[in-house]
Amino acid sequence: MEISRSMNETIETLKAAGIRVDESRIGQQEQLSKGIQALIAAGAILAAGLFALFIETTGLDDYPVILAVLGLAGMGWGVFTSRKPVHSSPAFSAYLLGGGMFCWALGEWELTTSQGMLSLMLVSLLSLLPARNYLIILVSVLVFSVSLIALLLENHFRAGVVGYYWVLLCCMWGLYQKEALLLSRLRHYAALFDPVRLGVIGSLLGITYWHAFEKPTPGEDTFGSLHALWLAMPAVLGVLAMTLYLLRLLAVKALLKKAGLMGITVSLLLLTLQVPAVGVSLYVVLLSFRAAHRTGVVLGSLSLLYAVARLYYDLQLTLLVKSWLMMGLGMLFLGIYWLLHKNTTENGEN
Amino acid sequence: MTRREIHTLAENSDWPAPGIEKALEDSVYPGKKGWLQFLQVFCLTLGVGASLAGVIFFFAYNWGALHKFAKIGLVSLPLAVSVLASLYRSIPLLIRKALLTTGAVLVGVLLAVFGQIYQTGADAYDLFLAWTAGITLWVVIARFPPLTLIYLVLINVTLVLYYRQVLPDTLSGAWWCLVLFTVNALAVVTLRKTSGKAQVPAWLQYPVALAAAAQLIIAFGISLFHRTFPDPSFYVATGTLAITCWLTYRQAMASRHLFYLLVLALCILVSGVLILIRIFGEERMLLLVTGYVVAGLYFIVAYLIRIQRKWKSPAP
Repeated sequence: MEISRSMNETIETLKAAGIRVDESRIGQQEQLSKGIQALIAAGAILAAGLFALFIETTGLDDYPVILAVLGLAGMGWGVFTSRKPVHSSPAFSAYLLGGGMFCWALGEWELTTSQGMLSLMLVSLLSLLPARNYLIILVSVLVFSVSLIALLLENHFRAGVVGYYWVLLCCMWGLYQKEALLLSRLRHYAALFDPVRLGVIGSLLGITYWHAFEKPTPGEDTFGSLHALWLAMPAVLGVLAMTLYLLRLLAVKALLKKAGLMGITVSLLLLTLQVPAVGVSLYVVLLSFRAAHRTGVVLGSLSLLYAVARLYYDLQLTLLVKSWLMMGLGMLFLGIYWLLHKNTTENGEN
Repeated sequence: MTRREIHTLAENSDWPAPGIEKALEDSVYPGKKGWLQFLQVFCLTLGVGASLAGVIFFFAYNWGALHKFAKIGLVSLPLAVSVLASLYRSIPLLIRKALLTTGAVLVGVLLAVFGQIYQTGADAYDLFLAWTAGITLWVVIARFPPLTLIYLVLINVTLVLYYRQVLPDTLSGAWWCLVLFTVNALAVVTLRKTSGKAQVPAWLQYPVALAAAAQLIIAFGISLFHRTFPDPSFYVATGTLAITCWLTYRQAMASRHLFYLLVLALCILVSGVLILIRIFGEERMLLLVTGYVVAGLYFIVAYLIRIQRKWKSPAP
């Protein structure tokens, strides 16, 4: 990679302090830009679609053993050749095609959902550890999450899904707030950091929307019938923790101001308990902005927009009351904006 | 230092956690000022959005019972207020532009309400055409990227509706996609030409350029698989595709803009797939097409990495 002047200065400072720096490896390392990764993802998806058509039309799906062997070989080849950026596209294509073939074979073998999901979890975990490719790691994390949730739900273990969801919320806190500590402790896995972070966001939002879209069936123990509070409460606590962090950062010292701002935040969050996606999206937006993770901010904002619209739609109130509520909310936010604008202008920070 | 540099350095050294933390705080994480800006934009967006939605739903609730003049007045009043307020110099410029954008959206609402009350019998494209024409001057004056994007979306919607309602039997889809492509390509060229003077952000070009590329590929695909193949639309679409690819390549290389090279790569991949399917037809040949995509992608990515490396390296 190109060593910038500021990076060079840091390297010199570290060396002067007697800290080991492997400059030759830094020079050799190269990472792909997001645009190229998007192109690779689009191309690999196109290739996977075409190959799936080929399998179906040629009747290759009648030989699940061949599919499974070829699939695992493709995935393995993809994982181990993905270290060099130039090999990223064939590696990810092979991983995606291989994964598709392996899933197809599992389907043809008519395994139970639990067996299938366990196999997918195992395969995704095994690919996660040696992989150094952004897209492969991201897909592995997402496949692992989806398989685990499906496995838990298949076995009617809803508490397990809630537990996993809480673990993800804590993981996200750690990944965003303790970035330096994680980087220093897990140096060899630094390449996993960004895609794992995105995968955790995807998994969190996935669980909340899974819950939102699954219609509760009376008398049945489905995920949709789980009370929304189980998902909303931890996210709300996370947002409150971020609010406290912000109050400290913005040096809000007056007790009355602090109490007022916390009171407004708590009241607004209480309104969202029925739709957990609002709290989770807000949590994602705030944490992502804190760590300057642009993709997270965009994903969280889009999700927040959708979740607020859904909350509004689901409210069991007349259109008239809803409209007053919405206008009141708008006025409240405009008021906060005005206060912030006034404060920054008075302090000469604009 | 960028986050990527910090990660690379952390991976290849014994840099302790406090040092990494300091580097991240100094160069990557937002400070107090960044947070304040973020919170302001967040509150302003939510505030304006929620207030407008509240007002709209309030009138939606009482809509049936309102007199026709009241209906028109209810839309005209906020339209007039937002446009007049945007002329008020003591309001911050960003808010004035946002107000004008609100006014531009309300023009469409007013036209729809007018059409509903008086049953003008106009086609949907008439409404969008009048809407587009009505806000043209504001778009030129405001030079506000979100308003420009809304304007370009309106132009596209008008053209699509015009084709569907007026021309479906007289003109083939390929020709109409070519018309849409021409409009969007001209928009991209204009945005690029004015980007220096009028503070046009790069993100505004991206969706328009992607739309133009998609329309050109669709035109090419339709003409390729048309029952009267090869008709004139095929030759025109192929010629346009070739010329556009060449011009885009030259432009991207001159301006060192990776995005346009990526769009070009996607165009080449997809058009190649369409040509192969057209030539071989047989479903068994899909393996060959898959191979083409994987191999093509490999060479394109290798080329892009080389180009990026060349652009980043200092000039001799």
